[in-house]
Amino acid sequence: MTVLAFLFPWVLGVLWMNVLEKHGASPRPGLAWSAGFGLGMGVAAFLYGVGFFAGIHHLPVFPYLDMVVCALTGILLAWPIKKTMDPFLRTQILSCVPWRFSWIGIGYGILLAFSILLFIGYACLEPHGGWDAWAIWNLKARFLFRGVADGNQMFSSHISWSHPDYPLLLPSIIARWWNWAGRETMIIPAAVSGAFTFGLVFLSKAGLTTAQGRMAGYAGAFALLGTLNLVRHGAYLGADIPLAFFFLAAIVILVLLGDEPLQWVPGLGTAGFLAGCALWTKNEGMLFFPALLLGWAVASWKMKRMGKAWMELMWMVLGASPFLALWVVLKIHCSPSNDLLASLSLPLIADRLLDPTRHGVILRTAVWTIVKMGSPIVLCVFWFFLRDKKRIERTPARTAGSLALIFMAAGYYAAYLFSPYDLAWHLSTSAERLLLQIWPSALFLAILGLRFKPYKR
Amino acid sequence: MMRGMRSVFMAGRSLRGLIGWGLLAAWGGLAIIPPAVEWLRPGFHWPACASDQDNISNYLTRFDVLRSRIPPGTVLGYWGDKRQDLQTVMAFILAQYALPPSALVKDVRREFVLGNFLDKAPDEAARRDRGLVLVRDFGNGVMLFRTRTKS
Repeated sequence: MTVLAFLFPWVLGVLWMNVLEKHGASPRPGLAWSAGFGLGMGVAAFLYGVGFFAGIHHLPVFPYLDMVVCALTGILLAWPIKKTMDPFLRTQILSCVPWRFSWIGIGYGILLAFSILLFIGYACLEPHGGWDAWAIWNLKARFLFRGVADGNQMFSSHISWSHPDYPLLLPSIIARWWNWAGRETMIIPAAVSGAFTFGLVFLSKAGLTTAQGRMAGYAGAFALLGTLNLVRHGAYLGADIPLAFFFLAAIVILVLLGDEPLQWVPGLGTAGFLAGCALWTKNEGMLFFPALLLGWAVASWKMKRMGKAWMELMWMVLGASPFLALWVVLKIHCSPSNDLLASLSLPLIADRLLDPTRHGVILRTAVWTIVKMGSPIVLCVFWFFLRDKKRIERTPARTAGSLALIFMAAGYYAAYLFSPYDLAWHLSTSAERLLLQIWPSALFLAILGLRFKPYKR
Repeated sequence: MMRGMRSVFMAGRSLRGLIGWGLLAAWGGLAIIPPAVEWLRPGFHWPACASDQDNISNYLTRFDVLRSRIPPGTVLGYWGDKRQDLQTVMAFILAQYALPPSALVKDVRREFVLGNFLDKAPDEAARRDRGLVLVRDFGNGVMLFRTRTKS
């Protein structure tokens, strides 16, 4: 049961990705498995969320209901490809196994193995994770798993440090898995976090390989594994890495849509669903979703294709609608106000806007955090050593993705500017995590902007 | 082997590509060092710190009996050590982490109050001042109090 809780939604996600393949794109096996993992976890969290708001999540029968819904959805997704199931299995499973020798591949394997060992080491050393894990995410998971029927004390203002207004994707996945396992074990949060951390690397590699070729994929994987503290933050068991995963997944799917996304409507819906997962993961996801839509609208307007953009935006919103619905229910019925927004007033906004010291501190910290993570170094390596002369043409997705990240950065800046907390404390406890949320997507888009010579055997 | 070498050179333009990939690989390898060093330091205590024997797990087991005795969803008051530092803040938040679906309020004016003392348990006079009666001492500084009803 314990393993099935994880495998069921994952296979569901892979089947979903395969349905997308039938509709035009050709995701590589790695992409189907990594993006499929995110989709599956999203479906699982959605089902658990519905169960929670319906007040049935704690019933002994709920895991079985969950299993039946997952199985039915799986059959529904597998039905269109039943005739091609054999080639599907061959491409999705067997083609993952043969591995072509290359020095870069060896280096990637070694780095990956070390990173995984390091993650396991940290997870064993701190099975409850970092401060945010036990003060927020695992605490919520415990409330969900041990909960009483009436929504319990999880949203109580008494435990304000746990951000009662935060959405519930990560706690839902953990509590759902505990439900299936029938007990609380700290191996599960670590396994979920590990899957998201290394799923992020696999997703970046597979997305870049699909869009730009193997060398671009390896470049992305090296740069991401080399990001200082990526593994450490993964082992903290917080929600920042899952959030980064969903940001990247939405952007990867959009990029694979190509120039005419409307010809691949399920792809737009899937990208919307993944952006919705981000929205259900953490409050920053609530910034990402509108930022992505706005980025798409601006990119389409610049490319003089606004007529098509409205339909595309509609499909994305439709894809995200399950999580939008959960989010609205959470905000209306359960959740107290957001700590950052609650203290806002016009005089305070004006005061903070005109405070040069505050701007200076935020900018200084942002630059230092970016430099500390080594981001400029890795981008310089790409620019001076690995790019080809020809630049890749812009597509709506690349422009929209880049704009969305710029909007996100602006949003983060504004959050610090108007923060009710001590600015130095707020920056020191969160700047690196926020940067880590958008860095994988920024890296993906940066590498896409360069052309790598194709790998030839 | 030659194929692998060739793939490296195909990456960029000959030497430049090789330098680029070398730098990228070194970058990846170097970035692992700081967290690995950080891990190795407490890692010397392995396996004493591993799995369920870590500090937080040990701390949480202090509340196991109490949790089984209180009705789910109860809101308990909280009374902790007098000093105000990071350790006492953590003690409170971790106590809450141990007790879902019940909640803790940092206030002694509740029907039931959790006492969580890392330093020294309070004496009878201190309890009386707060109007609390000891219901049960669970050991290791964990106690359950009840507010004394006014007669």
